[in-house]
Amino acid sequence: MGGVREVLEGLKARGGKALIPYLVAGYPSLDESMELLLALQDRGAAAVEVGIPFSDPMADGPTIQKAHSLALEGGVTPEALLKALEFLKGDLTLSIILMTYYNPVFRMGEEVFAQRAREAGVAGVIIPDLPPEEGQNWVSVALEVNLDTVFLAAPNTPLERVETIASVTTGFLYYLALKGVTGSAIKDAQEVAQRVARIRDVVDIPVCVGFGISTALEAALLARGCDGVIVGSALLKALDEGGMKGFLGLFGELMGALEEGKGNKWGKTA
Amino acid sequence: MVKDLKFGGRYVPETLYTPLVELEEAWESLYQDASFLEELDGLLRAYAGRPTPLYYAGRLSREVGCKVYLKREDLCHTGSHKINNTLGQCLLARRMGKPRVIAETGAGQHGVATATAAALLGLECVVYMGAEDVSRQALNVFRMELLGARVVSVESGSQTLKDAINEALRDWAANVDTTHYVIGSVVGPHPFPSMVRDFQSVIGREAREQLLEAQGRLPTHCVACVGGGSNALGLFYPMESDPVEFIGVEAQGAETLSLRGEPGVLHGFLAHFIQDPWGQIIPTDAIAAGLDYPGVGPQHSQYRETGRARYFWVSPQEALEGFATLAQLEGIIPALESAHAIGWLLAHRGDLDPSSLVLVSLSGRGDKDVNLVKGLLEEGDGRG
Ligand SMILES: Cc1ncc(COP(=O)(O)O)c(C=O)c1O
Repeated sequence: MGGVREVLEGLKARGGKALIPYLVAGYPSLDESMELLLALQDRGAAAVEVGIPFSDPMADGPTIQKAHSLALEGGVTPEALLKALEFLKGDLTLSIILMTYYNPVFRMGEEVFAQRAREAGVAGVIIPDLPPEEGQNWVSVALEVNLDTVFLAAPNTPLERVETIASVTTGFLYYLALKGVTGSAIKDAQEVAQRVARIRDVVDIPVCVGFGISTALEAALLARGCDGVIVGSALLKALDEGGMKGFLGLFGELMGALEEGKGNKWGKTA
Repeated sequence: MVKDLKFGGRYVPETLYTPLVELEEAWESLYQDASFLEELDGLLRAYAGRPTPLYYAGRLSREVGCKVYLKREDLCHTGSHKINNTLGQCLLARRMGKPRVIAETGAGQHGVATATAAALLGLECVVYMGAEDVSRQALNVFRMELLGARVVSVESGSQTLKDAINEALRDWAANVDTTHYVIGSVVGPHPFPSMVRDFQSVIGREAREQLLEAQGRLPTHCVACVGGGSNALGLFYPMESDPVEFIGVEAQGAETLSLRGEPGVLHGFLAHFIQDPWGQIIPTDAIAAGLDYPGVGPQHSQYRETGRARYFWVSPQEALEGFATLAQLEGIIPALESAHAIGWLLAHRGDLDPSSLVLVSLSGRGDKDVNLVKGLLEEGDGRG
């Protein structure tokens, strides 16, 4: 399985954009999470973000918070997730990106965590509460085992800082569409797109946009100006309301919108 | 200011990173700004009632077997040391041009102190409070509302203080352009622990001077209860390089440094936290809401690791004994939090050398706890 960056660049070479869905490991159960991964792969997902549930998910809104706490009640641990991924390693060809708060990584030890993730076939790791300043050791540990790092840039990150962040990022730059938590509403997708364009001017790694993307229109509009979009809360809401079928239904709809976006319906691709 | 401790740090989502850098810059310049310090000092005197008395507790001293002095933070406006910090931070917010402040609160002490300072300075105020605490502390919710604050009940997680902090951090990330987060203890991402320590250091500065005047010598021991650790650090820090023994007293159920905390990262900083082997934070169960936090400020972690301070926990029974004893011997009803410090002292009756000179932070008054204590005493076993 290739690195996150290769996957995104491969897609780009074919004129495509990544739709990166987010799910919470163990919500509603670890078995169902694994089924979802396989189903997403069947439906053409090139990469997926798998959240490790945490007791205090401070960057997340109510939908994802609830998924974290229910997954924890079900007893999911990082180790259980990594074992399950390792078991499916031969079958999973899509790029697995873990999303975890820092404390579970810290407790396991950065080296052990990175090693175990790599063995389980994980391609990259996002740690939303680890800015590069606190992640210097993590960057070298990840490099050592060939695990991609994904750091975040926010709407209020100064451009010089965006460059610094990009310089330690090997997977893609995760650009936050909004200030605040996952699942908030994007007010003006057009304005977000303009900010993304300024970011892309100063970095030469892939840029994906996430937080608050919930409709096909937003996904297509934003994907036009970057390498991929990440959708979490909206898919989890669909999962809450319509089970796995609901999740995959919305995923299909968003994929369709990105496909059409390649043509003319949403304008020219970047 | 102490920087680059192993403990502490700035483990926050990117949206908060730049605002924290700006806050640090603002604080570093205001901390040396004579007009800011003068304004704060004026409010502390005329409004909050500083300097607070240092009181020689004669009957308690005879009970314990050595001289005991109480630093009377219970006599501050709003009834605890929390006002030292909220006046400072709200003044800072106003200087930074932020018209809105938010805060977290457990029992409501810090929420009331923030709402009070916000009212005084004309700032909009929102207080996050765990849903469980909202129902347990209805009177304090009303008090904050009287002061013009909006209280938001937090339904997520364990619905207590740690979740209220999560929610305040989420609000802050979304509204950081207009909003300052008035954090309630020496916790959170840098520069909060240093800034709150500096605002609370008025406790130790005054007490040191007052005791030198009264006794002509420094204390042998400083004793304070530790939730996040702000009244303790405020007392200890100005005597950090003096030959004084520091004792932090935690509550049973939240014995972070005295028993079961391990290094970890929560709420933006690295320190000791009560957690499971996978790093999931475990909800705590202290009888005093102000001590019911699964972590401790980074400087206390540092003090513990270097041996500069020692930490102990006290059972509910011991805390209740402290509560009742101080009321009966001195006519002072302490906050249940502060009663833990008294409880530790009583549990060490006779252990301390008679020449010891003990300085205790009486962090708050107990009016807020009278109902709860009544229930606990009627139950007889001291457990809620
Ligand atoms: C009276 C009193 N003492 C102590 C505390 C604990 O906080 P800290 O450890 O930050 O002093 C509180 C917190 O609410 C309090 O109200």
